[in-house]
Amino acid sequence: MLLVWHPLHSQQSSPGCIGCRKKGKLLMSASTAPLYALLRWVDPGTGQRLERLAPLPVTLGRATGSTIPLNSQGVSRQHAQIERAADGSVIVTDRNSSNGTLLDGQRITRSVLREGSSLQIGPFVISVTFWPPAPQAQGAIQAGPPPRLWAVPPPLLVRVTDTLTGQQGDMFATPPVMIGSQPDNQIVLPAAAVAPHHAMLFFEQQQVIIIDQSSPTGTFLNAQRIQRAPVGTADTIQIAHYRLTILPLPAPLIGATQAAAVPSPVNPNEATLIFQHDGNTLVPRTSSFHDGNTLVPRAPSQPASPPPTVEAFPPAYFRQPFVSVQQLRSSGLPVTETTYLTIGGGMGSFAWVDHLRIAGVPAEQIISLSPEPKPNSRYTRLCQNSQIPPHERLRSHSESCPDNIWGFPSYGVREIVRSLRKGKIGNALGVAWQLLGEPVFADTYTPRSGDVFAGLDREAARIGWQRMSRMGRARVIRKTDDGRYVIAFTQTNVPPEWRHQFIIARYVHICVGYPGIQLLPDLQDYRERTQDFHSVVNAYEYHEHIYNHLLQRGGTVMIRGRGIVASRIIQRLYEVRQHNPNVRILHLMRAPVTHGHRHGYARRKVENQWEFEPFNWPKSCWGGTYLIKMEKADDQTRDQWINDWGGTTTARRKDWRRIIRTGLREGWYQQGFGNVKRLERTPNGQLAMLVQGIQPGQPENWLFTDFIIDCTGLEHGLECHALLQDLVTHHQLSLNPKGRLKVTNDFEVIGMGNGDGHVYAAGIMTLGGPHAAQDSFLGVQYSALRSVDALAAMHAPGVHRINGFHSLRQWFRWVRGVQP
Amino acid sequence: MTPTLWGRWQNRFFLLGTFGLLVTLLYGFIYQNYTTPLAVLGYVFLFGLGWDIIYQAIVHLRWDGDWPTSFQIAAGVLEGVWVWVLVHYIGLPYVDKNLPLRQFIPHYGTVWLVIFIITQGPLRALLPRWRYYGGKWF
Repeated sequence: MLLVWHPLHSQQSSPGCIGCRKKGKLLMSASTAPLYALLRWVDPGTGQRLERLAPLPVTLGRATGSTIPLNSQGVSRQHAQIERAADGSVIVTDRNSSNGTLLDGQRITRSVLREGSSLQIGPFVISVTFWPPAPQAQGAIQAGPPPRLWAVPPPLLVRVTDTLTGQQGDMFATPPVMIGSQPDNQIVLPAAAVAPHHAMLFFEQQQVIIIDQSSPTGTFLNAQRIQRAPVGTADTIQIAHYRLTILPLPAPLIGATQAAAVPSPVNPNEATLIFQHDGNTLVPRTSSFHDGNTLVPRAPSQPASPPPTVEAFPPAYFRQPFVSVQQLRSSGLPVTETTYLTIGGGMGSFAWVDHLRIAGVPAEQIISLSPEPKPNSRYTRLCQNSQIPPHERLRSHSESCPDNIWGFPSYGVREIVRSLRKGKIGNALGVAWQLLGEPVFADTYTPRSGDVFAGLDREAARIGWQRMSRMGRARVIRKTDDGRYVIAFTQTNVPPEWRHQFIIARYVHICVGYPGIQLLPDLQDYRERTQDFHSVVNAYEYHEHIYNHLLQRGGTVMIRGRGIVASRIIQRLYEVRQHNPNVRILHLMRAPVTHGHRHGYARRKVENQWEFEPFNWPKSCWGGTYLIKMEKADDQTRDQWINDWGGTTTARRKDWRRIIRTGLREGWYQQGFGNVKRLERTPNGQLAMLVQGIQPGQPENWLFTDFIIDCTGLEHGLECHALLQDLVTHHQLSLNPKGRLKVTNDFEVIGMGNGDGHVYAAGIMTLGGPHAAQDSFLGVQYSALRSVDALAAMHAPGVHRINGFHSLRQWFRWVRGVQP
Repeated sequence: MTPTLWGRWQNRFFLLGTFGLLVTLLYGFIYQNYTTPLAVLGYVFLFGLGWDIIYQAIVHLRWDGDWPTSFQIAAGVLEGVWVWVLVHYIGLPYVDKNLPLRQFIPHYGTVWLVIFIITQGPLRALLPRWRYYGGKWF
């Protein structure tokens, strides 16, 4: 994923230059300056005072995708919207909510919203002010001062330092400055520990103020966690591992704000800092940018000299085949010793730790190293962005329960019991019918994502996840000279002097998941050329702005990819279309699918170019024939079968198939086939794509669209992951035919044995190995069980084989909610 | 569940041999006749070994290689009907040809239901690997 700190571009570029769209963000005239709403309310449940500053338009509702999510039964999913009208006034609209919207006590459907008004939405009373201060009379913003080169007040010069890598960049930002991990912020800090909209810098009475937007990991000013505080040039702001300081404006620039032309304040060669988020570390990558009419290849930007605070880490002796434990202990850096360590800290790590705890290992002997606070942090984020909010269902089996290693009671049974308790007999009967009739007579039952996450929270608390979890990024894994392993890592939530640390462990488990988000090459090329993160997105990235735009103004969206994510996005677009019929979907595919994949006598079904199966692999990959024969097969056969069983498919849901049929019939959903030759931006802001037909001699066609959503998936090349790349290179590990880690049937990494020490791996980085469905809950539970069984067989400390009465006793402990 | 042939045979043996036997003894006590229910149980097991081969052929035709719950229910009905038809029209050793349906259905139905419920989850609490290996116990 490419993410950018938006610094000032070279000023020589012409105003219409494709590559300089961000310039408008910095050189804004007052007439086009975005208007922000500052909303303040008291949470009726907790009594907590809350404050949010957000650019218009602002949506309010119970839906998690709302700008201001208001979680209460009295609030509709899409309740109200605050936006700016063409005449510059601010309008609040009730979006056909069930209980209505009150403006200063009056029920309204659409009304002008004035500074200081109060909105009542369900139990929430919200006071609204604006930044910059709202127009006193309608049209005042438009009639404002003549365009100036800098927005008023002057910009801030912010220095951003990545304390992990030492990379540093200075940039201008016009207050209010949104800071967060999503590309729609002015300062983008691409890290998991940074919230999508983490903090905000703005002016108040000639002072710069920072507000923390209720971020989970917090905003620190001079090492003090703050909610809201004034910031001076001597202060240091810390957000995750990024340090931000506000620099005094250079003298020539202060004058320049008054002048007719602004000289280039920074060396154009260092103007663009582009980082690739590889899931583990930030590495600068080569890029190109559009300078006038020619494409100029650009070297990665580096600070002129690395800041002196960043010492070599890991130390030089990590290049040797074995690291001496004595040397580690005398390094002066903190060393933690443990028996069991899992690296990744996501769903795969959680499954392994859950099995270890149930097998009898105390929490004190286990460490999970993760850049995220919760095992499902990343998973939940990907779900939300790809349109699976808590009330929507995952594509996952009822008995595939990451919070319960036995898969009993299954999610379906739990939902039936919950529904009966609430008196929802209809829902209980519906679920029972699905469980008995699937997939022949009914659509396959799948659990609600919110229920899965709630269950995970409970299980995490039960096994003491918090006590075992360490926030940090693993940098390298080495064998030690005493038959163990050392992991050099960087802890993210501690003072700088403790940042670099070591963990020594006897048994190591690696499950780091997908390294990043993948864009199709033509889209990646377009984004690198244009820095347009607005119109071209990956479905797993935050992209609510597209739905907001379509809701208000309609438009055309192109979908790429034909998997489950594409189907979810089309469903969301269909829902938007219910409110604005001017939404069209173009679905571009490489080639038509005439028949489904085959394996033996079995064949996958195809309808309207979509290939169907309940889950992303045949069910018996998780248990039964395919699982067993996969374990016995050699590498080449496994590779062949994975190709047979894999490919993108979606679930055969009745309601969704109806959407596709209706769309095709009414013409608002169209399918096309071909290869992309070019992608450009038209002067009126649309995307123009030149597509070559699939048959030789077919004409080329220009397709026009407002947005492109890439639904082709997540990146899973091992080479994209710095930690694994280093592991393979340093230890000279051989890879399987899929180019992933080669593991035994117990999921032990071949070539990593070290005396009594063993390294296990799980998840997508073992694809091509003994188990196909490693990208699933039940898949990582299976690999966890296999490796914990292997540990039990070798009498690893504390590990009992989970079976028979030991298993039954543990199951009863699970039912009672007591620790293993 | 996504069973294998070996898993099916093991399940048939162990589940009929434990829970099935307990239920059968209970009905033997109620009917004051142990031979007939025990013989019926034996035939369900023996014929079932053959049925399982047919079921497994169907599994191989399915993309998912699975055995949906509805199939499990249908197979239960089929096997019951098969045994009763053989008893009633052809006759099987140790079973009275005039075995009334009102005795056969409660016994066979209870055995089947108990086993169905156990395979839907509770067995996994005792045997966590059972579901991964197509219903194998060992």
